[in-house]
Amino acid sequence: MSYTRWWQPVLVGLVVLAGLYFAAPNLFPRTTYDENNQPKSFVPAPFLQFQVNLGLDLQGGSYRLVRVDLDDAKASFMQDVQRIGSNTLRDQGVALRAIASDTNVRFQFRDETAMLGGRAILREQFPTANYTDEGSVLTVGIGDEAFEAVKQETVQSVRDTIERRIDAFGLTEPSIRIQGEDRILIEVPGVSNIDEYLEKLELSIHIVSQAGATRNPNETLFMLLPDSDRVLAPGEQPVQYLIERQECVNGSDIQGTGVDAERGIAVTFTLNSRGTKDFANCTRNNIGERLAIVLDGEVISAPNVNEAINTGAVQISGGFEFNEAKTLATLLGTGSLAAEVESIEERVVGPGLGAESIRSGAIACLVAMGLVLVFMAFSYGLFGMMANVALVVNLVLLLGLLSLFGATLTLPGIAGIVLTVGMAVDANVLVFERVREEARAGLDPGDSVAGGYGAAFSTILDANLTTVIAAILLAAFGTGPIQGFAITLTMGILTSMFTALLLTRLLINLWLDAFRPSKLPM
Amino acid sequence: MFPLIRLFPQDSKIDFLGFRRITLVLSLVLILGSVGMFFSRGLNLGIDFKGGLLFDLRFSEAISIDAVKDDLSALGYGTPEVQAFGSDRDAKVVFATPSAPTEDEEIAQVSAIKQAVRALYPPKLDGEDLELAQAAATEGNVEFVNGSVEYRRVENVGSKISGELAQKGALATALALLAIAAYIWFRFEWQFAIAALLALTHDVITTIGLFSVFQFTFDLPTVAAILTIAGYSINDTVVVFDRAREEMRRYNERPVVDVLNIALNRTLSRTLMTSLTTLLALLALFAFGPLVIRDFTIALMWGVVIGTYSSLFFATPLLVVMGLSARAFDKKIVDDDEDDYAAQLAAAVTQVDDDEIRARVRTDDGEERPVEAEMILPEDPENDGPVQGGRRRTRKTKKKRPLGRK
Repeated sequence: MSYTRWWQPVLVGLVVLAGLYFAAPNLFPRTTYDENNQPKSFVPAPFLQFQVNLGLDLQGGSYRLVRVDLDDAKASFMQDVQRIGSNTLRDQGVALRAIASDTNVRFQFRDETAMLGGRAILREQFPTANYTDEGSVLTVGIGDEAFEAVKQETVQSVRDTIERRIDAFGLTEPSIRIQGEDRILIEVPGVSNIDEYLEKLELSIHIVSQAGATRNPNETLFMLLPDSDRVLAPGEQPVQYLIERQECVNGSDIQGTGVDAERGIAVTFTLNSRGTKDFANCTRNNIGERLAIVLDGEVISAPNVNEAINTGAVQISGGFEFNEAKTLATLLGTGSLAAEVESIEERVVGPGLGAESIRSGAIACLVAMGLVLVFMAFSYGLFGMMANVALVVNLVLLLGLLSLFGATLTLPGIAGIVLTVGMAVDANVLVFERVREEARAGLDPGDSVAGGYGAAFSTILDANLTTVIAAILLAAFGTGPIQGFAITLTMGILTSMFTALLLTRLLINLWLDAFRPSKLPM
Repeated sequence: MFPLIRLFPQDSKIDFLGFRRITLVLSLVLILGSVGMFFSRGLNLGIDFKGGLLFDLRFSEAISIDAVKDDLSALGYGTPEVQAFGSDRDAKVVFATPSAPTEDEEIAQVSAIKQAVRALYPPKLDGEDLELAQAAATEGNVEFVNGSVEYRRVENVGSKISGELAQKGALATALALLAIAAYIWFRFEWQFAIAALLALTHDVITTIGLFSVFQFTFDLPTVAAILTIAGYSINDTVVVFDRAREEMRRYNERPVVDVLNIALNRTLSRTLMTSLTTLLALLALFAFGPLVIRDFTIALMWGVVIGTYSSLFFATPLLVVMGLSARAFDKKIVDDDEDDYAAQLAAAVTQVDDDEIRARVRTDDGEERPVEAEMILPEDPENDGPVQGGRRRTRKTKKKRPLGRK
């Protein structure tokens, strides 16, 4: 009688070969791409392109969780209502005055009839907003439905803009995901500071109100803004500018951007046709006045208007270093964020630390493996050797499985692998102890092995399933690195059950078939 | 072949349950002590749960921790915690989350601290950062000067997020414990489930106690470690309980304490072997692994020790305390009318005196072999010939009643 069925070596062999095949690409250098997205170094032909992804904590990079400021989104919606609404109404010949706050817009019409007409027109434009009227005054607020839409649209738009910005700098495969209602998770490998991609960068050009000094700055028609830090010489006090709230042009009309280093360093941009027209009108009517170029609520430049500018070419000069100007120009070209974002969680690992972690993790893994291999060999002799084969194959399978699913290996994930090395022999230890007992009870080697496996099976299943339960909960509740740990732990348990229950058993059975021993060497 | 090393006795006869009063009291003391430490001394929470701003800095030459602390305090954002971390060129700096009335202001302040630190210690760019900066410098025809301080790690967790993380961690731990207990309850009798749950809670609480005593940093990886400890400990407990149940079926006439002792002794060498291999692996991780996860590794090592201890000296004695009796297992087999084989088997088993089962004779090859009840046992309907030994018999019984629970 043979202890081995023909299909057993075939099945186990196929799985091990598949493991080797999927694990092997990790021996080659990581696939990298040049600017044209053509692979610079890659895994040679017979292998598929599967490699274990390295987490940010291993390859270095930035992990950032930001919250989109929805109050800001609300305020921009109200500004849109005010601007678009009053333009539409004026185009249709309705006279009105519109005042926007952060939460609503008050439209003052000539009389109630005009208000009713205006309300119908506005309803067409903003069907989901909230309308309340009192005599000739119509107040437009943001209703729940409109807020929901604005929220989704804003968060999506912010995400897309951040992606455009990061792409504009040619950085490698960022991952940018919306999480929950108002959060965006940004992961950029290989970069240590992504603050500048998260500035709102809302640019607008206004007329400085010369007479404004005497007016009440709280008057909704005017804004009082400070100098930007950028234009201040060291020790200089910021000056405040009283500027008209209504802008000449804003950032959405920017077409192309660049840096001009001819006479001092300046950020330049050209306006689209609408922007060019608006800017020409604005400058023609205000020759002799000053313009304020406003970026995120600070005046970054305040040039004099000497003549009408009809070309749509704008230059912002003053206080830039070249790098800074270059970055600002590139970012202005990608548009402003639809709302401000605030960093609520940030984790950055430098490339040096990541490489060190991989190196020391690998050493720890090898040492752990060496210790366990020696220990098993001395404890169980030949059977220990077979368990050792299983342990090595287990690591190969684990690596293969991680590569196949494109799982991300993190630092705690490496710890998970080392832990797997220690715990993977558990199933074999359980079986071997049982086999010993059976052998001591007088069963012959074949029956001892069969009996040992049989008796240990349900224990092994129970013991491993409980660990998987803990690991699944870890994966469900953890973030980033911790999830990586849970995933490697779970996969390690799966592969170790395969190697302990099928592979070692096959080896032992083959040995029994070949030598027909009368006594077990353990 | 080289001689095998037997670290652990094959036929140990340790009376584990003999000192169950001592070990139960010891466990109780450990739990109360941990709870006491937790409330009096508290945990050294990492920024994951406390919020704050952390920098791992590597300078180009050896630095004095005090000097770094003075430099950073002079920035005017409070006195940060500064520790040596690894070599004499490394410092780990933690700024507490600024206490600001609103979240927006807190975020603005953190951002200001970050900028101030970067201005004080200009970062040494590397990788893509360096390429970008160099490209821009070349284009603008200016000289690029790299900073000298390597920012190996920067972490910043806002106070709102840290609260969320703490909540999630506590929830995950509680759910894991309950899910594991539910699984045990499904597979075993209720006493086992309760004992397992209490043992897990014991392990988790004492791990927290360890972190409180030594003031190790308690952060997200620690929660992962605690859940892994729970997984490891239950693994150990399940092995012992599985065996306990098996032995109870076999020796259902004997006092529960004796049967549990048999189960513990028979699994002892496996328990110790597995703990030892796992500890060896973790020791390698502790000695050679990355510094960043050292506390995590310590937690895991402690978990292996406490998990092994609790299986032997806490979970199993609890079974006795809860009045588990081997008789219950006997009744179950006899009650099962549908299963003729089981009924016959049970009848057969009761005919065999315990001592008779344990009596051993020497066989030709010098091995001890128990006198088995081959003559008394009924024919196994599924296999040809008589059942060979006691273990087979148990397996059959188990196969018919996989849940082992009424």
